[in-house]
Amino acid sequence: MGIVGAAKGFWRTLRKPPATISLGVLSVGGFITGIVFWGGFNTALEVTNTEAFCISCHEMRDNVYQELQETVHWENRTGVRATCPDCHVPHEWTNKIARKMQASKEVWGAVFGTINTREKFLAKREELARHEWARLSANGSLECRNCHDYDSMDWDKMSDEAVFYMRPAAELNTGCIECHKGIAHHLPERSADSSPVVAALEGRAATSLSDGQDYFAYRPVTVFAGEDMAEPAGQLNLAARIEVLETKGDKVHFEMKAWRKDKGYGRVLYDDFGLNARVAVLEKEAAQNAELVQAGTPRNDDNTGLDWSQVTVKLWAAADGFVADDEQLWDVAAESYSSSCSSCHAQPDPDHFSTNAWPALFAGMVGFTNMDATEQELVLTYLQNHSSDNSESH
Amino acid sequence: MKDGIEDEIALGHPEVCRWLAQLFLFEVTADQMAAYQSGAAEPFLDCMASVCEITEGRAAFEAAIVGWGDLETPLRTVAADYAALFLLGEKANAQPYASLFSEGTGQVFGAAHDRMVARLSSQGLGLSAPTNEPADHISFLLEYLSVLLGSPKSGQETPADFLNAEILPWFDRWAQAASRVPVRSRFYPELISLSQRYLAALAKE
Amino acid sequence: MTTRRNVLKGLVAGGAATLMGQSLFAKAAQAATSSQGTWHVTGSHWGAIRALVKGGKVTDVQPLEDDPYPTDMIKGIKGIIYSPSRIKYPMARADWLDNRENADRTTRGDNRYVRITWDEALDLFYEELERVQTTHGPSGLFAGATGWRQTGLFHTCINHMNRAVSMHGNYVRKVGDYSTGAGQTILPYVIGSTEVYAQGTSWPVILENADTVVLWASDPLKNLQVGWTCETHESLPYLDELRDKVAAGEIRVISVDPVRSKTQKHLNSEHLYVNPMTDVAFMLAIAHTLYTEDLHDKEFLDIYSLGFDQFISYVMGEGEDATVKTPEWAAEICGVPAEEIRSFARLLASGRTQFLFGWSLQRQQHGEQPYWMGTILASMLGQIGLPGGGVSYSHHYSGVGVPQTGANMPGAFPLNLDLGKTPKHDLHNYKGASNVIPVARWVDMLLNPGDKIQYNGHEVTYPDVRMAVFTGCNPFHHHQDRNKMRKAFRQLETVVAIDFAWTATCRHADLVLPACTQFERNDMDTYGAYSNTGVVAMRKLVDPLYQSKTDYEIFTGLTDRFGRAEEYTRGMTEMQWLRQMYDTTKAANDGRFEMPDFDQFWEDGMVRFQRGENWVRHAAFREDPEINALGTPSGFIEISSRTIEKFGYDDCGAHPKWMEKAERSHGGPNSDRFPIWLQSCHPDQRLHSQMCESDEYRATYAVQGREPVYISPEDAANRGINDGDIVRVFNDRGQLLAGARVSEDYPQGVVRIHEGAWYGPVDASIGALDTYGDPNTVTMDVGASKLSQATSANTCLVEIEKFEGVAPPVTSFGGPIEESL
Repeated sequence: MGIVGAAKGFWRTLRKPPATISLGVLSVGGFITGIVFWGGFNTALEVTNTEAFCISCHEMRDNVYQELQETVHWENRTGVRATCPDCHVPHEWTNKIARKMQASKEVWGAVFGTINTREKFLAKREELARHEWARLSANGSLECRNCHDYDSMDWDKMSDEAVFYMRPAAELNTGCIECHKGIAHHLPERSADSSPVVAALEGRAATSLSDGQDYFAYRPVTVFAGEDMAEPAGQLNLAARIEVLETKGDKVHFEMKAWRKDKGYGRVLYDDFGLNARVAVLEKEAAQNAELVQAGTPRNDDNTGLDWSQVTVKLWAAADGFVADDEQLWDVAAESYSSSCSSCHAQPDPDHFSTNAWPALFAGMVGFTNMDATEQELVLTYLQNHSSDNSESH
Repeated sequence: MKDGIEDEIALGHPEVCRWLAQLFLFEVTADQMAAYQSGAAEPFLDCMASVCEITEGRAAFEAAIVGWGDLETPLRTVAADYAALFLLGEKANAQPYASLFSEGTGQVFGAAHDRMVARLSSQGLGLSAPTNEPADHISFLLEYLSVLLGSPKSGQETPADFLNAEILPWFDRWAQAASRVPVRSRFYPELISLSQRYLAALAKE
Repeated sequence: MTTRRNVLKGLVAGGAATLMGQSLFAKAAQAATSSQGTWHVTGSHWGAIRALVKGGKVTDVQPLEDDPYPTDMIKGIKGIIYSPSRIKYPMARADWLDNRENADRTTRGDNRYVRITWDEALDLFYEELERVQTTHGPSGLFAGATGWRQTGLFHTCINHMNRAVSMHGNYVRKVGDYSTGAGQTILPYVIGSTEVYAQGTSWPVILENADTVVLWASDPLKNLQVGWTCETHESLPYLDELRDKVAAGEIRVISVDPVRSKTQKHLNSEHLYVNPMTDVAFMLAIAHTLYTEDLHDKEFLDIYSLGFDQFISYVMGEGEDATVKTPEWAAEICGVPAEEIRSFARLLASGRTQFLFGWSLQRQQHGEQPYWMGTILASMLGQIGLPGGGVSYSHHYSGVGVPQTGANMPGAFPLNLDLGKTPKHDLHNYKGASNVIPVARWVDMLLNPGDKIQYNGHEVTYPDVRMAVFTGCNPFHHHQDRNKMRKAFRQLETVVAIDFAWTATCRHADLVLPACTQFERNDMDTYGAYSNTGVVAMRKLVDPLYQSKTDYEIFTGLTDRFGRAEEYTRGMTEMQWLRQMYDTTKAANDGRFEMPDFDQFWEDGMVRFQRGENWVRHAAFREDPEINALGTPSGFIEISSRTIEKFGYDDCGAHPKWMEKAERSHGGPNSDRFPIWLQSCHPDQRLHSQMCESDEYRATYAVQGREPVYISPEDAANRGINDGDIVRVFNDRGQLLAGARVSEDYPQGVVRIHEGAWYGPVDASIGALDTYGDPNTVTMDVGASKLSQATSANTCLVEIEKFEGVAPPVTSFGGPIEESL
């Protein structure tokens, strides 16, 4: 416990145990009531569109096919089973041809042995998975929606929690794969932005950014000095507020107003004067580059004796890591806090402690939870933003 | 049980033991309280008196029943006495388990419980009361005694053997513990001393 | 024997039939002949065990074979299940049952209860919640106190009670706990985390790198027997390694303690005696030596800390008190000769030094100060964040220091309402009072509604509480000053207690509900609270005894009374919950940690993971104090705290100070009247008050049926007390009987009674003699300071005398073992 930086959790399609119902379980209740029976799957397709064909390669049979059999897509109370071609071969004929062409790479791989052992397969899994996710993202989760769609979901039969997560996604018509990665096969080894909170927020991301508007990072966002996005200049914390200067394609140039302490290299940026709520961590070079970071006159913080300066930072980032409304972040954070921090005791109200007290209290107890580093960051930021410093009641 | 509808019953030692078994397992109900107050215990006491001298104890017991009339909430008071004696163990424990008073482990559900379970099982019997109490509760021992008394079979344990094996070795110590429990009505203490005298005599019959 | 019968007729027959009832037996299928029984794995605070279940009974309990260091307390587990102190039926206090809020509250604790049915009991519980919410609002209900509960993540009773009561209405809650109240409040300001519950540097790292280990009022061998979840005891073999290193002269271990501890004796290590409650004076003199002899690490202080100058000027006599904190000054107070203080300071600075602080030290008046000083001394040595150096406040707790696997653990039954749900009575008017109370002040709260106190930088106003609910929690053990507490309990109109045994808290309650023990329900638990070594299946060993129920059933029944049972249970059974908890954990560990499917796990009883990597506490901060800033206001170690200074408290200021206590032995205040210091640390043969009711096990350590009081040969001889005597321990606050254990391990003027001894007063009166030996009968109930308002249990002076005459019988327990055999 308490191992700083060791991201313990992974983005679990099945979310936090057990105070919350897992998304996997939710999808049983929520999706199945939404299933449209459209008359059987791919009944009369050529041989490469059959399950038998797919598992004739041992790489498929021994890895992903085994994993599928543990999931609700294999066995459920409706008796409907999804097999390989239902999800992985586009149902529309011409797309199907295109897909099979792409699949030849895997066939090739099998022949030349790039995934012919479990270890090699695992090493390659992320690449393969990302490939499929990108395809499903691009087509709006078309194959999923052959059976599931928002319109036929029975909202009354879903738990409050399921509705909580599903509603915003439905409103934005978000594709299924954005939140339900890993629904049929194991997930790849962890990667940086693979936290369950990020997965929960993905469905709420702003699809386009408007100039002059404020947005909030919903996952750790790498920032860059220049438009070419060649040299990373640091990273935004979850919930960091940016003001959009301009967008260029999938990139955004933004400005951020923050504070930093004058002890150290000035790499850590905070939300407000004297308050230890982090918004970004910059590389040393970037932090000391006056072109990127303009610092104001130092002001002494009477609570610590340290000098703080206000800074204005102008940087670039990919445009897809933001939400328009920070309440979206707080919703997810509040739910995580409420369920993760009540295993042993009643969790204190956020406004029971000050912004500067929360980091210590949180650090002292968070090791008892399953939160990964990203989720910890989001929850701590939530607590600091709703602390006694921000509350009228204390 | 439907109160008072039996026209005729035979009353002997099996019924006295059954009566005591009920008293030690359940609180006195309002109906029973009324019955006691109209002398319903007399036939049981008569039967007791047939094997031992209980004049003084009987008088004290009957006086306790008369004394209920002076209590503000007799039913509640007697129930609280019952709880203090048989359900709680604070002031001086008198929880009526053979294991507690004869085995020295400080644990209930001990060997005496096991022996009673075996006895009942061999007779095709089980506990009917919905209490999950251990089988060595005094009430189950008395009920078993009642069964033995009511249908003696040759070759099986005699009532006297059973009394000597399972009840009398610890009954006096239990009675002594019970005598230290503070109560508001003398009903239970007098009942216990009557039982003590009676069971000892019954073993010698 | 005669079978003659008289035939009764008519009314007489009817009356007799009414009295006789029905047979207590029914025909039953003949039970199978007794088998050899079956061994089942389950978990407990005392470790994982195998229990032999035979004929519907637990007949034997053994530690799991691979427990490297089983605790002797395993022997007490059977006695918990089959304790005569079990609550068998729902019970209500007789007077309260008739008169409720108008009942006579002075008779609380007089043992007048009646048995009621579960339906009646839950109706009453619900009616009282209704009455209090609608009459007094949320400030009328206190349901915040929680304790060490039985283990099991699903059935954890704290969560069940909180969730169910929260569905009905809001209520006053607590903050903090009795174990570490002062420590967990001060350390966030000083070193940026509560520390007391934080993972510490891995033991192998300490063993490899430390030259000196200081056990400061810490007795890990005693305290590591138990864990918050199922304990693995993996940390204890490291103490054997440490013992070997001590023997080989590779590590010096020094135990700073008034008493020779179990650990010190096991390690065969050195002892440094300090007068009780004077550690801060001793520490200030160490700081003085380090500073004046230029042994302090100025670079470390400069980079990693703030406020050293302000602190050191106090040490050097430039503060208001104009007293230089020389070893000579300290020697007068702490009883350690000045030269010994100097040489100890030099030793600390001579190599890698690891401080391991225990918790007893902060359970005293001004308990924040020695903990703050601990960080300052470690900072002056400059080794915080180095392997085998720095300061720990947790290595005696729940396997801290065993590397963590990194696996996800099952969560728990939800404590909170489900998303978007609100209570039946969603009232928020606390009538100007606070809705959260520092936990150790709730007795003051009962006695002084409307009063205002300072707490951690803000003001707390006591609410006017009318009803309290306790579950798996025994404040009549863990709170101080029993007699004050009994008075306070008279303020409460209704007290509901849910437990499996008749604790003194239950005996002072109005409505008592029998929960079953953890051995009578299905559950699962984290194996190793910090190590996350595995997950242990807790298969039900026997059905609930008597009419006890699981907390899940109890609160399903309660919430059903206001139509919320379906929401409470989410429509799932116990086994469905367990399956879901397990499956969720398995999914979270997918690809990283292998877990079999649930059925296999349930069959195996345990899933284990590979031991994790070694780790060094505060290493990240040392590596990069800017990015990995501490959680203090400044992000650095705060040797002086402006934040605390601004609170303006007279009992906790800008930096640690030596402050005299309200009472102190060895020449301190009040020691002329009560010359002996009573320490009430965590027990060696219980878990707080858990297992005290296990009669046979208690008999292995009790003295004439009483809790032992450990006393020095000198104090015993001066009072004519012999080992094995019953003695009376007393002061102005109360009196208790205990059994004298005369021991060379105790210095003159110091006695110990382990906390958790069950309170058993002779009667319901205030000031009544406690018959068993609950030390909190005589402890003081004042806040450690305005900062933490924590317990001050270890600030306590007493006198002791041999008890003459016939000692009253022990009234704490349900069993007659001491009395009749």
